[in-house]
Amino acid sequence: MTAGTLAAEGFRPARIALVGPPNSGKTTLFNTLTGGRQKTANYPGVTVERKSGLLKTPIGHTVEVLDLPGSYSLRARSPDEAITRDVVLGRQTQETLPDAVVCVTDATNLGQHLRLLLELQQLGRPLILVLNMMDIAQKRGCQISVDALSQQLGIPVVTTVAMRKSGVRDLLNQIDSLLNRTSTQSEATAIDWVEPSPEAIRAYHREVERLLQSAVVSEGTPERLTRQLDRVLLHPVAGPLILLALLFLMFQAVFSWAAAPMDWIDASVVGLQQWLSTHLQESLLKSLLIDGIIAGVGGVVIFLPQILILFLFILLLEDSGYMTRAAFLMDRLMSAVGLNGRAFIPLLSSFACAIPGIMATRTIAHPLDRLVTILIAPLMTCSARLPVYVLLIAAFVPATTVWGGIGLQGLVMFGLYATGIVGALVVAGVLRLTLLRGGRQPLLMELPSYKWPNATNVLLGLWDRARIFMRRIGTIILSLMVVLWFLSTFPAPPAGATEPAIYYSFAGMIGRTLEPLLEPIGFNWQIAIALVPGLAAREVAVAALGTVYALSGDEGAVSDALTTTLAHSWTLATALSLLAWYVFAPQCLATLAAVRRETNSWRWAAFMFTYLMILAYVAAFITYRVALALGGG
Amino acid sequence: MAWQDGLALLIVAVATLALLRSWLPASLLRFWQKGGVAAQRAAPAGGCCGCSSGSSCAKTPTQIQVQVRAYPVPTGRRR
Repeated sequence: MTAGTLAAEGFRPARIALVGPPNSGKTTLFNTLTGGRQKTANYPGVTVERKSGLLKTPIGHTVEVLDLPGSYSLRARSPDEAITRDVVLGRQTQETLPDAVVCVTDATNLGQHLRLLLELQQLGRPLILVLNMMDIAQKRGCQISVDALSQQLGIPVVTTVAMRKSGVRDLLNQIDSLLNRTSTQSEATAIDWVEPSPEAIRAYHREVERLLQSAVVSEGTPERLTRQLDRVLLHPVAGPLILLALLFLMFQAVFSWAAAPMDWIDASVVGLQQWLSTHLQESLLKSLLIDGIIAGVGGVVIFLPQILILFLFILLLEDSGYMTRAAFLMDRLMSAVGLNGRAFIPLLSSFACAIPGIMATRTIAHPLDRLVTILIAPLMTCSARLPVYVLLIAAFVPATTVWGGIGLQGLVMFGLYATGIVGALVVAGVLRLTLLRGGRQPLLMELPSYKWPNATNVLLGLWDRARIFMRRIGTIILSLMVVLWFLSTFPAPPAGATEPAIYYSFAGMIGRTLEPLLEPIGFNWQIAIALVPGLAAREVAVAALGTVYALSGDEGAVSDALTTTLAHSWTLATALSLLAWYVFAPQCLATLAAVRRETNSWRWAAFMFTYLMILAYVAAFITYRVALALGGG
Repeated sequence: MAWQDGLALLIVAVATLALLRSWLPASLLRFWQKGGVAAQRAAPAGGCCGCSSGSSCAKTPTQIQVQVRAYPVPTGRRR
């Protein structure tokens, strides 16, 4: 059941908007109320768009809950805050004015958060105040008189611990009584609102002070652990070193921890190939299953453990509250190339996928700051590139240790990620000096308290990643591999052919057409074939290489791992060139579409595609020629 | 093994249609649906650009009753 289906039946559920400052727990409360599983994390700016879900209250009201991006004020300064303002004021197209507003605040930080409530009160809409994270407030000795606050404000006040579902029943009861007093079936018009003057803002601050004095019985003590940790983690020298060490550990773990589960998956894939090879008679179906589907899809499934390990680290850092510290640490470096410190979190999100990273730029207030961040987001190594890196590193970099026990493969992986980051910073610097001058703003970001990562959050996050990865394999990668198998199998080779059948196929023709263009950077026609479907999704290139080499080889080569086949077929220079290509090459088509939507123009998407393509070609060319000169041929 | 060859080609046809469904504009492939083109152009669910081929966006909703409405947020040079 969705709000849309209810609307189709002529019934409009009551609409309640969850509004509040960033990182006050709105999405956690939303998930608790609706049973949703929207992403939550311990840093501001996780939610950048409006989400809705349905719930039934204890007395049977059907309520559509809107989860909105965090905002300290209705005076929106960034695109995500503008969404919140427009929905609350009923100005957003496709939206009607919410019937009531639930203002979610962090009970440990009322001084900063109550101003938004006062602004919301001025709108004259039904309002409930939620003091979330009450457990942390109480642990710090903070005592708030809920009754006094409610009396002073003249609105219901509820305390909750959204993560533990505590206080939710009280909130639902308050929603019920509010809805009983409010007509929800009439369509209210947009609110005529003007930005408060500086004098009005000062008045809000004075009112907040008065409220705190009358309702906060004891302020408690500021959290010592966070301050002590920050003394080390934000230290000008120790801080960046710790950040670097954490990232380094992450990439080492990606290789060393994943070895055993990858071997199991590999053995299963090879076993299945051999079983089918023995039991199926020669036919197109046998070739499709073994050379097309299993060689292609099996070559990608194997990377699931590494992707999960990478995300385990990212989720732990997100949930602990370290991410904003990392943004703070990176601000000096990023501002040197004209990037806003707020760009750090979108760029970090791009390590998962560039699309949520590009969406997350909505938290950046200035349009030029935002545009630069969007344009460099694809240079962050997304998880789809991980299979390509791992495949080539495993094939060409020996699994040895250097400098007293550091894994060489992990070191190379770290280097590839670092190259992407350095490339992004250089491109940002160049754009800032040329096309996109001006608009630099200082970083202003609330540092959340450190928290133990929530095990359920982390496990659900990993489950979601696994599901997304497997869904991609079962949908786009599988479909592309089937089509690629067809293109690689037909037409049949002519009589007396001396090359493998794929050489004469449609795919072979495409590969051979592109080969002269790619020959200067060391790519053969097989790589050229893999690059084309790799535009749809990067990991498809690995699957495509699996299929292409399965169809290029003899029967005995079927059970060979792709890494072994590549190690025998390519030179080191070619492998390094392909790695350099993948550090810079344009993202998948979905990313270009996301850039188009966020910039509202195909011009910037085309610009991004062109500059990345040129960068990739130049980087691959230099890498290939240098490697050849050093004897990597 | 004619039937096995036929099955392989059928799988290829289905995969091709699945890809076309993912990448071609919805209006070209779902013209028979109720509500006309306007209904098909409704904002897609999911935090991504709505590509049904499964972008790895972590914000894709996981519960049936949760909907994400993404508004276009244009950017560009300051006027």
